[in-house]
Amino acid sequence: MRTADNRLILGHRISEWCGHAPMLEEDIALANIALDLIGQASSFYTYYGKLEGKTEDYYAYRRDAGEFQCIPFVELPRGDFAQTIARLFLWASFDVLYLENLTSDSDQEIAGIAARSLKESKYHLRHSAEWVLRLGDGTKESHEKIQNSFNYYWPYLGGLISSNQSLKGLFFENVSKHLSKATLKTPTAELITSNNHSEFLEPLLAEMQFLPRKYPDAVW
Amino acid sequence: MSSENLWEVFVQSEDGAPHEHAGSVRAADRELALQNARDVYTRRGKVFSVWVVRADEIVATSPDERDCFFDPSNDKIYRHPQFYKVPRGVKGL
Repeated sequence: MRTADNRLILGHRISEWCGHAPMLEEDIALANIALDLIGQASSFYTYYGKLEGKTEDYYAYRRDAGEFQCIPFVELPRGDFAQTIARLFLWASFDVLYLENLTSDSDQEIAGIAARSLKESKYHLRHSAEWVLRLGDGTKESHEKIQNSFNYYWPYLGGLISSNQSLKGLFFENVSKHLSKATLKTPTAELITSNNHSEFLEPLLAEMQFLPRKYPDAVW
Repeated sequence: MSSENLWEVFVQSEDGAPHEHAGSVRAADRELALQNARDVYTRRGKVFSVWVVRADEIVATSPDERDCFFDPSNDKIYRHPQFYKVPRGVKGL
């Protein structure tokens, strides 16, 4: 459930760029990525829904912040473009490893969702990794902005890896290799291990859930 | 952005089919041009391969050359292949 919630909330954060990205092509790219993540969440919710007798809409729209299991890393505001790219790069670097692992899950359905999602996540990684190179090795301003963004999100990686310790080594190795290629420093800040929700989740849910909360009978 | 950042996008729907012009994207370099083309033109429908070509690398005829380039092509009926019967079973002609 945590991985589904993470995908939904991060997808929502990225979807906030729709109509606001620095250029049309990137606007579409980010909207595609947001849709991928929300689609992945939907697959996982549908799976859990079958077990618990609930619909995917229930999980997305009828739960309060306290019932969401997402981590602060995905709740934090989208920030500027550099912040969005830095978080997406960290997320995707981790998610590719996570999903690769999950494709050999003993539950065939989970393994199937992982295999489908993995193709998308590999693209998210490719897209964000290319931007990290360009921003890191770009102008002085872009370098500073992306470096500050990595510094900002870094401690929150604790939430991402806390329940996946076996992926930790490879994840940090991959990330710091790419950061140095982009002339960036790998932050050394200590990781936050608490997964208490941040103050940003509730306003996000208020916006996302507004319509079904206001009009409970609304149908798609 | 200058025309250096403009890329023309060609999409191939299946192996062996021609790459057809789909439109154009703006991008600062080759890799981003390819990614933008993927995001803008390939998210719906079946796609086998994508090409991007810098727009200013394309050599094109100009509108004033139209007459001498293309007009003679339509006034000689023997240039057209409609006198031939297409053998049965030939596809994709």
